[in-house]
Amino acid sequence: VIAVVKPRGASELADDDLVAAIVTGDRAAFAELYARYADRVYARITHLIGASAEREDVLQHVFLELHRALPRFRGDAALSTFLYRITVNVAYDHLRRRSRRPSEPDPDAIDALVDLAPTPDERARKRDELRQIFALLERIKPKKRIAFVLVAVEGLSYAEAAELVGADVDAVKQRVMHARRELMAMMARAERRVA
Amino acid sequence: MTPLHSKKIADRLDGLVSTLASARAPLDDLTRARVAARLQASLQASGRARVRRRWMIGGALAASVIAVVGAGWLTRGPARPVVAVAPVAHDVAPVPVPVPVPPPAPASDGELTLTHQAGALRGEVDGASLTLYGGGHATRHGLRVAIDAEAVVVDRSAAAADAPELQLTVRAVRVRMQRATFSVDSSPVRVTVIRGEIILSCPGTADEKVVHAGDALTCEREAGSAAAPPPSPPRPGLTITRAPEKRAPVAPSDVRAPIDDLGARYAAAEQLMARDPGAARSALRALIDAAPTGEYVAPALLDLARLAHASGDLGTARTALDELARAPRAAALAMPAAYLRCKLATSDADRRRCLAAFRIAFPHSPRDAEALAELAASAGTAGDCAAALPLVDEYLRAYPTGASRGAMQAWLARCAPPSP
Repeated sequence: VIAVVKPRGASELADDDLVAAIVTGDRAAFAELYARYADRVYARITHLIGASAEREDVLQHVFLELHRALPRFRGDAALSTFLYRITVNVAYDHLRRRSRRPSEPDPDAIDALVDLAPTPDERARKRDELRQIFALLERIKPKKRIAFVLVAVEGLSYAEAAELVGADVDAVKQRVMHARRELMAMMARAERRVA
Repeated sequence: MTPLHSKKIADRLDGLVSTLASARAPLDDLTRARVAARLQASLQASGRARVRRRWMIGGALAASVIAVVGAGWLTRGPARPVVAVAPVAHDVAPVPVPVPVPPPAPASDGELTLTHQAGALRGEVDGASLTLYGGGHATRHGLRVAIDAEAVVVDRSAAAADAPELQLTVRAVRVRMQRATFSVDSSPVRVTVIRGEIILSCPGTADEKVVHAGDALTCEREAGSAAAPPPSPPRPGLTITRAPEKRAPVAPSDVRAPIDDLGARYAAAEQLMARDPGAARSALRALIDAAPTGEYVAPALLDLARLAHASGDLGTARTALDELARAPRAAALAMPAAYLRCKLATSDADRRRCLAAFRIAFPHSPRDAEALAELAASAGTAGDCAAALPLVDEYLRAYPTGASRGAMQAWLARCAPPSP
């Protein structure tokens, strides 16, 4: 049963062995793969689409897509890279659909993100900052948002980000630069309004 | 925004980004289990649907085979290409029966006609536009094209999906491709793929390597070539190194800093571009000064020009583009550099001239839609509807779902003569 949660890292099987088993229809192997990667994928989804309640649906969608795509996985890249690429694609599709109805961050989810801050003041500051950055990111186009998050937040190189989004390095650089410029312009406008 | 204010805003943005980067997004056990259960249900449902679909497709395939065989038996005519369509059951797509398609007849062989444009030689062959730098010539034999030039940009990104494979030999580099844009610099041999993918063989080797968009490969020197030092250790043929992970050998006079250090410095400068453009400019300039003829100079100069343009420093941007024009391996960046130069034009007239020239020089550029829309809008704004209308019309035909479609339709409404 897929819902059985094994302690992470309990299995000795390598990713390639898991993939081979999944392709032959082994559901337990897929459950193992899910247990192994769900946390990482969820963290990335949070960066890419924000701390909204929709992350759960996106997480499910990513693993369904992975299951569909695994027979095409040839091992040219690491499974984690393959999965990361699917995550980015699903997040992009989600953001594109959502662009007509921007989403509000979930306050409880934001609280969970700052849970580890040492003091109440620090937690309040971080909560406020996260609300701000998610609100700003919500207002730029999905392609630019994804590129900016991959490079500026996740710390990927332009080449790595380009490979993930299926664009050339040049295009990713442009997207990141435009995103940054737009975010700064929005911040400046907000400042003027407050003043 | 003043530079000081801009810096303050940039610092605040960096702070927000850093908070997001350090935020942990834990997946609680309840959510994990809930998603797992939903996954299991979805996979079971899709497994049942797949079994049903197999039965239906099998039935449709059998029906289509019977239809084709029956039709052949009834007509007993000469064999002709046939596409049989299966009886359409719900959820079953028509099943085409493949028939061999004869290869397209080769166009006329011999020397290709090349024309001088903007300091380069340009020509067309089988849907591919060729731009040769530093003189040269090209000949074709069927779908094989031999090019002799110092640097070449080949753009066949707009070819049809079923276009036949084209084989190009640029000096001793062999490339097979269907739809791609790539450049070849001859000394040292460096191939940069801008769009699509190509299959590459370096001089002196039969090994083939698939090179994707965004990758640049440097072939090692030709074994036994007069200019090459004795290979050490001796290896038959050549190997390909992928930049930036593995660097091609560079003559000591080419650079003043170790090559790995340069790679790391360029990567660091790229990171800074997203976080601190001012620091990125300093880092790129230092990199260029450290290795003025190194392989990172051209991309660093283009990045520098872009950053300067973004911050409104047009003078520095122009200087960087001028330097780029003289830099080694600039051919691969000719298109984005030319487009950026148009953005730096100070008057509308200059900008329009520049964009028009850009479209002639790079007809299949990914920037073409943007350039065309800007040309049309610029002509319209200047009150020149006669010039704007054909451009608007071209945009709407070439890019019917383009980002500027709405603006172009607005210009069409404003400029088009009212119908009687």
